[in-house]
Amino acid sequence: MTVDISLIESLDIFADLKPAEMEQIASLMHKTRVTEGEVIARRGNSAHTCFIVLSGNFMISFNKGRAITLHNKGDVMGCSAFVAPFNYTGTATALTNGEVLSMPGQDFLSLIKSDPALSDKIMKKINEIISDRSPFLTGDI
Amino acid sequence: MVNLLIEFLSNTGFALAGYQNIIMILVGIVLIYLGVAKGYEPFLLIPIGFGVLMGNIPVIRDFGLGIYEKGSFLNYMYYGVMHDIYPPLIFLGVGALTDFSAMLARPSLMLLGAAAQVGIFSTFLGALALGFAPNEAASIGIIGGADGPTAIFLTAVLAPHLIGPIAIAAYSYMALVPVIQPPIMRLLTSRKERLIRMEDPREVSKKEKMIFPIIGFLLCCFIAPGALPLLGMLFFGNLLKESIVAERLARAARTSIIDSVTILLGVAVGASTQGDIFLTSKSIGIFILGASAFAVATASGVLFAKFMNLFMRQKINPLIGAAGVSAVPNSARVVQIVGQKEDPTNFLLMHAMAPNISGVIGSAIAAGILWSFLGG
Repeated sequence: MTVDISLIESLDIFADLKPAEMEQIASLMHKTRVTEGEVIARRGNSAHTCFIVLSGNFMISFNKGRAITLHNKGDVMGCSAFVAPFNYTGTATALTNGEVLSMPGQDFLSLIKSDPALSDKIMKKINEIISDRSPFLTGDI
Repeated sequence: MVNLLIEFLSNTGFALAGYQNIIMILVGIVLIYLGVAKGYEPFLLIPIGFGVLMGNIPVIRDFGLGIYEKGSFLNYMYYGVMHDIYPPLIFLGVGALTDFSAMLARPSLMLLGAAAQVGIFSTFLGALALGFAPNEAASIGIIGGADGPTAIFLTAVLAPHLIGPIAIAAYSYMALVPVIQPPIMRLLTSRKERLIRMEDPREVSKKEKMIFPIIGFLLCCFIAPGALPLLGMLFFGNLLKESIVAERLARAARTSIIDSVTILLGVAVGASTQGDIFLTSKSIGIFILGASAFAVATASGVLFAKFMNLFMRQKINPLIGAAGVSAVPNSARVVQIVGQKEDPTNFLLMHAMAPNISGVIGSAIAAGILWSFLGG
């Protein structure tokens, strides 16, 4: 499904982008419905796609039984698609029916070519999310 | 009836296959695996890998099936490789996709793209010393440019018999950028250097971006007219992108055209690697020299960045020199990854795009120069 720019505007992660940049992001995103119990990313698998929650509840389970749940519009899953070593560090499962936006990592590579400044902004946002979540990965909580 | 059955069996691939076909089929499967499971350049390795499988199905000679048999389907696809049709079309798409503003914001970083081309010329000399003919040595050296279409472009005119191994080596090493480059980058830099933060580049005006493809084209092609097909299409594609008024053409170039040509190029190059032609001692030499070309190119970029720092007030992070090999944007992303390992809040991606894009232009110019010297 194609993505409307107003949807991109409503997401915190893209809040500080210019309208032209939002349009570019919208062209790379795909809206997908997910069903309860569906595993959308599996820990250890090659991270091909990043997901942004639009609706529904999700759980990301890391190793040693650690897990977080995501309920808010704009929450991000599959950040590993953008950072080395490009393997999912957690398994993301839909706890309820819902909708996500997805962006393939390959499209992000194209974005680096076509607009390095925009990809830099996104990398910084993703980095913030990863550093927020790193305690769950390292167990320092 | 028995005779018919025997004849049928003797015409199957099982009876016709040689050990070379089996080895190459395994190589094809490995390439597909790297693309699918590891995510290494999937858009390139999957078509090439499947092409290798197609090219190594043993077929009865003179049935018009093999890639080297005139009139066969694969032969028509291969025509675009041998006559340098595909590489310039890929460059058209690359031009229509690429934002040159990182390079225009800080033109001094273009020198890093030029420095990385040392890998091409040093490998050229190395290959000559090892007994390769000059035209073959030039085609092997261009692997150091880390640009598949450029490698195919030059090899098609200088050493067409080596297209298979050179293309496979070039694309494999491009896919293995995240594996090959980091150890060299870390070896040649201190932690203090890897921690250097760079100033945000200035904003580049729309006018600058629009004028650049014209000035860049004229300048580069006057320096190396041999690079005309590649750079002409690269800058033309970029003009379509930046002019805005031709956005529909730019979109076609960066989506449907480049995707279609990538499929044709990948499958044709893969299929050209028939076991009996590909598995030779020359191919092994090409792979070893190609790896050294790549390593030298990476090292040259990093070392030149350190050299530039001797004279610059605002120091540059020498890691970005490694992006001077083309492989856009993978090598820029490797710079980002290596830099972030030292300091997760340091973002080098944008800065690395400047030498990265310069590397594309630099390797095309190098190809043009080698062609003009050796192609006559």
